[in-house]
Amino acid sequence: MLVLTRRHGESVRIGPDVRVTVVASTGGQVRIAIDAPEEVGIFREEIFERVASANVEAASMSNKTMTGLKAARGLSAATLEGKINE
Amino acid sequence: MSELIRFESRRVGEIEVAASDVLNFEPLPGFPEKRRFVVMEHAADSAMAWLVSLDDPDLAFVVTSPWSFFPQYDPPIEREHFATLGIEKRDELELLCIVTLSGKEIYLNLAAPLVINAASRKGMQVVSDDPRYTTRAPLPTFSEQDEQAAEQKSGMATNTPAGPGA
Repeated sequence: MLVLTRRHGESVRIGPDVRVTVVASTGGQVRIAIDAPEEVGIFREEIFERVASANVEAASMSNKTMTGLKAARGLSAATLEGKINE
Repeated sequence: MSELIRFESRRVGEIEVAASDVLNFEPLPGFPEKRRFVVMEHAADSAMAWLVSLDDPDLAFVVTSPWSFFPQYDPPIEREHFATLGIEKRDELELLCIVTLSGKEIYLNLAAPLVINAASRKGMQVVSDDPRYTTRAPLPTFSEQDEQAAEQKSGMATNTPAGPGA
């Protein structure tokens, strides 16, 4: 990991397309401006982490659980189908 | 005629899919190197499907269309997502949510849906911090759906909930 010190108004360039600028900092908070192409995803880390963990948990579901899932959802889907077709 | 791809998945077994069915995903949080996936039917009577990795025999997700369970679901899909997927209008998208099981509870990840450009076979997980949606939204329990169905049948409801999304 690269650690840099910047003053207000100074920037860091990441790759050719991304620029991060320190706008302001007060009381333990830093205001950051990020210049990046539209398709580059920018997330608060804790949100990204939450999704990553959720994906990992979802991927570890066992096949045995999946069989149980099938039975439950089969019934519910049929109930919904019935509603829609009425 | 599209070329056929055979793959031995340890989650769903041996599969054979057309190359044109393969979805190419932007890196998924937690699985950034697994990019090629295919949607497989789970069972004829099931609302669920498998999203099977063609890059990792141990990786597959259970996915579902969320609107059967959450008819008002309306996740924010922004211009940058449209740009990444190469689409111009929302109706060019297909959307699936990842399913998690925990004990007997079934959850949908509504905070980070999988969004797909059906025409180009490109997909991505749209991560949002919209406070309305969680990564673990419990499905209405079977008994709740039963109650709703019973109310419908008794003829009181004239506004049927929206059917599965487009």
